[in-house]
Amino acid sequence: MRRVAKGVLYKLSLVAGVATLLFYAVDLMPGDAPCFGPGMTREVCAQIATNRGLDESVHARYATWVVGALTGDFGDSHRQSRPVLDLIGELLPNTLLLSGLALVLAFGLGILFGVIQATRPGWVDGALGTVLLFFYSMPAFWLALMLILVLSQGLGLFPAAGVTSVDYDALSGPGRLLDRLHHLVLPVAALTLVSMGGVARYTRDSMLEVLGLDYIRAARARGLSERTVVYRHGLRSALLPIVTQLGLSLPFLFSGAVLVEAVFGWPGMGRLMYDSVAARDMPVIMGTGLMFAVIVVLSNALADALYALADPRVRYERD
Amino acid sequence: MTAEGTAAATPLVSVESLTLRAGRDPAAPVLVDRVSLEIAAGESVGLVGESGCGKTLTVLAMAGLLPADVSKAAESRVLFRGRPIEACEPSPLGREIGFVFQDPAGSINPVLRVGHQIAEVVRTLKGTSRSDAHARSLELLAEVGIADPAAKARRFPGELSGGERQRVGVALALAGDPALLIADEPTTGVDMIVQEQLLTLIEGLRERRGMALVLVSHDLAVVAEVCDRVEVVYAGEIIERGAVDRVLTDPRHPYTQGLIRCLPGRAGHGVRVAAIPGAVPVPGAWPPGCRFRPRCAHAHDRCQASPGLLLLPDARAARCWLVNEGGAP
Repeated sequence: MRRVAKGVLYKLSLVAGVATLLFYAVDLMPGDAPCFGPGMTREVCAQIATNRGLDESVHARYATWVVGALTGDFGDSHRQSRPVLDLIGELLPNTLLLSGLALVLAFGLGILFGVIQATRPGWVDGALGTVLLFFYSMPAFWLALMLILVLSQGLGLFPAAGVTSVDYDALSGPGRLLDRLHHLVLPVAALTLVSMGGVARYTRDSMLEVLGLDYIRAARARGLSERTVVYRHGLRSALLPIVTQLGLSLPFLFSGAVLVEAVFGWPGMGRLMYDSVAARDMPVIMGTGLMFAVIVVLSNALADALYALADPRVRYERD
Repeated sequence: MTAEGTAAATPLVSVESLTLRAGRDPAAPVLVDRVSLEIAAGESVGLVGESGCGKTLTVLAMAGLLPADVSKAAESRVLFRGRPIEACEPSPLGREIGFVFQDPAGSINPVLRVGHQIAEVVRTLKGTSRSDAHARSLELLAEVGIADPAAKARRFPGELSGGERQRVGVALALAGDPALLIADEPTTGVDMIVQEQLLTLIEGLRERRGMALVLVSHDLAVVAEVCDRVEVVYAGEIIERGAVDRVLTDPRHPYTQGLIRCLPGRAGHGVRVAAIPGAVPVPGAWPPGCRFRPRCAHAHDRCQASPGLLLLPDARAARCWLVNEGGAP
């Protein structure tokens, strides 16, 4: 119980630390965002700055933000004049869908290819490894551009941008689903192709290490089938480090891939963050920043919990 | 080779001129050199020798479990019930040959519950249903002397004591009701009391089940306690064989004599236990002729040529020139 309380306290202080650091770091950024565009006279700028509380000291603004955040009020976006939480609530589902699909596919396919590589040494291992490394080495945004160039512009198979088509509202129920899936193919493919190579590599090495262990040889010696030995004994142990990897990848679900979302014009969290930093939109930067801090901390805790669930040794050795 | 009048019966296992090398290269160092031995159904045989002499590799070859980096010479044959072990279908592993490994902590999957692991082997080998296999796993745990099997079956290997883990190792080896149990240093890393319990268990299981037993140990006292027959191994060769009580009371090879002098029980209280001077030569550095020569108190010019394994009455044999002269002094 004490250990749990200590852990929670530690995690809370971590989140508070990140928020503080972020606030002061953003304050140090050069540039007064609103002061460009037509009609932006010196007086208007000064008025805007006063409205945003910029004439107060940074400490005072920080104190105001903390009090607001503690009561669940993250303020309004300067840029869009809407509550930060509304913006996040609107864009987060798009990112969850795109990143979630990509994450599931990257881990699913990565583990599958890794196991195939580990169990078929020789040319299968080599060929798969080369192809996976090819995609792994590419920048995601560049691969995204190439996919658009070939599959969208060239062959016209998939839409190049957006979440839905223009005529989305006119479509029937199943038609809407298909339309959404159609728009998901390219961004999901770009993210999956780039990240599954790492998972495959990790799985392959972990699997090879485990398959050389004494208890795997012993399992064969007891008359278990090769299938049981490789999948039930080998894969189970080999996946332990992958579970941690998966837990640590979870923040990606919420952050999205900034550049890939930009390339595909995907209205998601990645783009929201990018735009808010460019516009010095402090409430949005702080709101998303705090959300990420919480999610990273929770993901780490979840990774630990998942690992303990998967590996009994962690459970009883802690007692 | 055994002249016990049961020559007509096919031995359970016969190893014929087993030569093992550290690698595929025919010039690679020899690890086991032309070892031949037979295990009859129901008999218990001990393999004794210092570490690095080839005992473990010999029994791994017997079970067809050689590691990939060890190669078997072309003329070597391992027959199980008269057929080459590689050609036996289905593999006798688990079904006919149970193997108890040296290190129970490393040879049992640490992330699966022990009951599940035993039931899994039962299901594979016996084709029984899930619930029958579970019931059988509890019976096996009880048979190897684990108190409260139902509770222990739900534990992970790391939650058991060293002795319990090795009992689970034995239960796993017994799951297919094998005709031969091979135990490779099964009491490594446990204290004397647990060692005694494990040996009593293995001996009792062998008697009740009528299995044959091959026990590998560096400790002649362990083999003497459990086995009927002993094969003494030195530098990749068998250097003496015979009934345990005969070999203990009347050893013919100077190395065996040295081993017996080294038994702590022989020395009185406060008396320093004897040791054989020198160390076993490593594979590849075996001297020509008798390999024990550099450490032997009776070494002679003649020992520069190997005497070969000389056969003696009562199914005994020893690899020493002195046996022809009525045994070593």
